Amino acid sequence: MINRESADNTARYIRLWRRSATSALVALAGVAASVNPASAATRSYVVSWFTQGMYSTENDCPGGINPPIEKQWVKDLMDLGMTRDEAQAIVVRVGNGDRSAHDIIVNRGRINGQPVNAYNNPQAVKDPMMVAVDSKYGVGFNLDGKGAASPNGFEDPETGEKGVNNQMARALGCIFNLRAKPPLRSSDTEQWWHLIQDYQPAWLISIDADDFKNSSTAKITFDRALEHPSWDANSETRRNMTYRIDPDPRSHTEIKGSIKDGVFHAATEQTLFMVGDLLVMPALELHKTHVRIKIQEDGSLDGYLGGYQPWVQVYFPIAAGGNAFEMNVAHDIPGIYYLLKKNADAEPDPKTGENTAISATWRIEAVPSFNVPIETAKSGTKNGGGQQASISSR
Amino acid sequence: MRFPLALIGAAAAFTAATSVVAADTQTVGMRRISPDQYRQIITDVFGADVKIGGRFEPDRRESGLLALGSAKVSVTQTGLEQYDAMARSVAADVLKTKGLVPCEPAAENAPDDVCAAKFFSSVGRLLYRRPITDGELKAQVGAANAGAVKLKNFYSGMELSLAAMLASPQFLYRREVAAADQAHPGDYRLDAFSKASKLSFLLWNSAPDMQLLASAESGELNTPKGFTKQLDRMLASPRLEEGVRAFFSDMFAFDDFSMLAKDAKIYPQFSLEVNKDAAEETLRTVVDLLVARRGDYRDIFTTKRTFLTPVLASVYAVPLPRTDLVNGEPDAWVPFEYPADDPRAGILMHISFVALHSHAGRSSPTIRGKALREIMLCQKVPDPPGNVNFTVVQDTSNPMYKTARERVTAHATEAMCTGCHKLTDPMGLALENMDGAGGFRLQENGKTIDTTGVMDGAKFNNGAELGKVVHDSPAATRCIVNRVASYALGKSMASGAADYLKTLEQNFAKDGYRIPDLLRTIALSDEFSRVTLTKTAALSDSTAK
Repeated sequence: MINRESADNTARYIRLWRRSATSALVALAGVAASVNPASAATRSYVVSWFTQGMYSTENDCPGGINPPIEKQWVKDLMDLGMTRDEAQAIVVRVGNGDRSAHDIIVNRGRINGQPVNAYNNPQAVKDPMMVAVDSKYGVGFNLDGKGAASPNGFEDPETGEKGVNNQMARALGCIFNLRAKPPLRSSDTEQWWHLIQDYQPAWLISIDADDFKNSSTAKITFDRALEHPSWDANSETRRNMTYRIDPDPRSHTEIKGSIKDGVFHAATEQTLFMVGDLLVMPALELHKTHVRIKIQEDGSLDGYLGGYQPWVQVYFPIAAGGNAFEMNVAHDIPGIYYLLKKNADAEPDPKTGENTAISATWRIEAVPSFNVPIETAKSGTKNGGGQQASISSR
Repeated sequence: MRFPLALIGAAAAFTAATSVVAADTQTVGMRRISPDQYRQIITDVFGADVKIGGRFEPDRRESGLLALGSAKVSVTQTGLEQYDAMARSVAADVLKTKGLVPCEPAAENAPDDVCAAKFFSSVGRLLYRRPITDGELKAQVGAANAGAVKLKNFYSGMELSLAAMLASPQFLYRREVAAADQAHPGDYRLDAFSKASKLSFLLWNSAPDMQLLASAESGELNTPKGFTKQLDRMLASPRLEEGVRAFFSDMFAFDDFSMLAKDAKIYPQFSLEVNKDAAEETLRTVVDLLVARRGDYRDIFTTKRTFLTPVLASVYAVPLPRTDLVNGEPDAWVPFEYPADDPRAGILMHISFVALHSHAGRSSPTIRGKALREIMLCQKVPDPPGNVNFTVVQDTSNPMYKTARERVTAHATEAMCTGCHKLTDPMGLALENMDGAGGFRLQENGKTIDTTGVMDGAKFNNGAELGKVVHDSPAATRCIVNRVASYALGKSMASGAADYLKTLEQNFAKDGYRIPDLLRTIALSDEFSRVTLTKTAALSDSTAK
């Protein structure tokens, strides 16, 4: 939690100060006369939370949520022909750290009758028929433009919009550790977000607008930083840190939109691409990117990104976690493979006709930061005054 | 196999006490070296790679300075264990580092008294801040020999003997010895080695180097010309920064950071890193201004220049691009200057002042004002009586009193409180734009903060202007002269020192309020080496025998 009052004061102060800093920059550049004196400004942020956009409710999983992994493994092993007692004995041995039992679980796939790694070859495991969400509500966007007529469409509880396409939430929403109802976060992301904070360069956002309450010509920009996020005393992402923007163009996306009642909106045909990290998410790639982010009074952002995402990109980082991830965080990984594959709803492969992308919503939170182009950081003298004159106003 | 190091140390101490002091000398003071001095000496003698772990004995503050309390603290049994453990750890590091023993033993599995003597006579001189006596050297070599025989390893024996030396009172205490002043019969002055130590700990916060010891040994240091030569050499050295840093760390009571805690729910920005960096920010600012730039002392209250780490910058909410950061490496310090129109200036608006002198979950105009009076102006503010009702000032959510000004005003209407609060609160309220952790704010509970006030007749509108008032206050310069003199001379400036202090103040002003010049003036003054013996203060070394 942040100190709301302190945050308000800081945000107010920074706005006042940056305005004067911008004036200084403008004066330095000698272009004062050509600059529109209207209060066009940039506010910059560092992503403080990123997770699947879930909206879990009571009874949203037919027959209940998927069983614990220990029970799922027993089922998987019985599918291989073991008796229940044999399967249960192996699962117990896995719990006791037995390496050979662990190998049986890992290699429960079969190709030509030979054991293969189930995470690398999920299609070699029989579909465990895990349960998907069947609910009226889901967060996200009407990506296919069909509105209420959209097949499998949710109703967004925040906006009331019907025909919301978020098949990723449908596929993964009945796995215990992934379930969450905003503002709560799933236990899965509580773990991996904190895990990556220490070794993944931060993701940055900036919003340009002439008015941060209502604007028809706003813009949101996504970048990657050179630095890792920094923690505060509550192990949350620290506010007001300075980050250098990675000049790598792969992780730079500008999206035009509008702001209405303090909420940034965008519905585009653009692709949003962000380099992530190898363990949790090598890359985020959203086609037909949609954005809905609230600019909060305490200076932070809270909202959603949506679009169609190659579903193997969702599967791969889960599979990369292997047995440890299966045991401690997620669930039956081949089962997730089948859930994503069956719920994919876009971009059919021209040859097979199978959908290669899945509609997805990601929840995103961000806190204020100073995002500085690397050129500025390099040319900045050791004197802070010089640095400040190069910082855009928020 | 553990040797009774304390006994070896005690034996060495006894040997020293009975052999190093001439008959016409008096031991006039014993000052325990501070943790920073311990670390600095080890670094100077053995290099920065030698690690020092463990807990030091707590210091004691006297008349506003730990340096004065150092003459009144002993070593407890637990403390001795800690010093012993640190000594063993340092000795182990030293003996496993190539090149620190200046000779190769004849055989590695046996004693080598010649090599041991060469080592201990060299490091003993630096650690004891004087030549090591024959008796001390014999004890050290003997201990190394016994250890080597027992452990069948030359270096293991050396390690044990060095550990004993490092746990010895000769090392842990600065012993000040007065010798009869030949020029003024009946008077006493610090002997050359005591004077060398006093000068070195004052200017470098460490033991004398070889040059200074040589000057003391040759008698040069006892001549005005020789003393001035050494003094100016030391003042010109970059190591002066260590001495100035140590003084201000003591004066500003930065040891209190070890006990500072903030409510993370209220001040999430105030992490352990911030706590660690806060004092360093101010020390870097002060040392840069006063030593590197040879600036005016009073400017510490108004300067826009400082040094920040990324986390400090985040608390202050200012951008601090790093040009050379490698992820995973410690954060670098970056020089920073607030723009002219930024409302912050001077060290009173540093985290090290506003957060250190606040409560865990709220600011405190009273505590800040008291700290300003006592630390920066040397004015004593009475402690509150025991039966004060703090309910009004503690309740920051009371809608009747939205700001700290409103709360302390309501509180201070009680007659018993009014007097002292008039002394403290106006200055503390000027700093209310800084919250209890050093974050900047314009409002509290939705109400604009009023930072105007008056100090000793001078008006100000905010914290930066308060800094200007303190800058111009004669009390501030009088205070720093008093503190530096106390620190340098190792004694509280009693009323009898008024004339001396007045002269120092005049010279300080004449020299542009420059701290290095003030240090020079004090070191060159007669008071620096003159010793006034009293019947009870002096320990007769002939009696000690």
